[in-house]
Amino acid sequence: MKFIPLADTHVVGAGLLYGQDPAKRLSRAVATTNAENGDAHFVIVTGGMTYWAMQRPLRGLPARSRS
Amino acid sequence: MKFVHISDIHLTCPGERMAGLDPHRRFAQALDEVRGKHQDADRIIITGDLTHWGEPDAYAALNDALVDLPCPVRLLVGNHDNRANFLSAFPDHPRDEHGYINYAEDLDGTRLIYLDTTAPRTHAGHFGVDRIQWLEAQLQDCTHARLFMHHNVMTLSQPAEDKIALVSADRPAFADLLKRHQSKIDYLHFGHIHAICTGTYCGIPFASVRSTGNQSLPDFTETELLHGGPLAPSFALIEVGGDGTVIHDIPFTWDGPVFSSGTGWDDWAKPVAAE
Repeated sequence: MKFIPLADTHVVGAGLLYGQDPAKRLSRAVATTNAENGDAHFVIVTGGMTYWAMQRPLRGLPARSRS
Repeated sequence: MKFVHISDIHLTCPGERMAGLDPHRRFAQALDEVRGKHQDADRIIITGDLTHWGEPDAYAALNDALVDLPCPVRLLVGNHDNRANFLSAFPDHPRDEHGYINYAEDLDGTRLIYLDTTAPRTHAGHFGVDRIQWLEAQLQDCTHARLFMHHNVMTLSQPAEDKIALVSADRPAFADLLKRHQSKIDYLHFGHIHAICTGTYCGIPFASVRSTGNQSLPDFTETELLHGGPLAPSFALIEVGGDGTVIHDIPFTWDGPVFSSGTGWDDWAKPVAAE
């Protein structure tokens, strides 16, 4: 069994957080996971998904479907 | 108990660089961090690859650097080290009856066991029957033990890196020993892979630390080459209490921005103008 924990992705709706774009960072983590660990069984995001708990940023979370 | 776990310092003859950086400066930065913030440490344990090419001048530089520290230092050898040159620079250093740099001490009811997993002219780890017997004896008459070593004694799903783990011929006896003494071995601590890797092996938790020099990049498909780069270094601060072990990653070279915030709910409220 192989799984990838991600945590504290702290996505914001628009703009930067402490000089970084958290959604872009998360996208890179997803791309790296897909490229290097495509055989993982699941990804688990252990909280801190968004920074300000707003509904809109959640739509900014990149999605990936597995068959 | 509190331990500073540093590894893979790869000292050169002073003035020589190692893979683009000055390992002496990095090591000095790590020791300065210990002097500045960890005066309460009980041991500084350096798990091998003390030098890059095993030269006498590099060991002399190591000896010179180990001054004004808050606690005793424990030195282990790694695949880049030269046992004879190490012992010339540290002539009173303990060793076992076969000449391996295996030694142990008891602290607060725990036996700290420092292993020599090296063999000449190979980057892989070795721990044959003579060393297994020594370790067996150490484990038999203690109630708690903590093992420090240079090499990973288990494979880590990285085909190239696993070629220089403990050799497959020596793995079964080591694993058997761990299983038989699993209840008294609290932790396995090692370096070698220039990366943080944690998990359990034979029912015992393990943790590696980064190098103070360059770091490796995990590769789960590469079968021949070890990949690495100038990622930031760190060492580990290991706190051992009655309830267990906590290991902190200390990024001792960081000199960039530091953000500070309180811990109250309102301290993290969204500002009017978020950035």
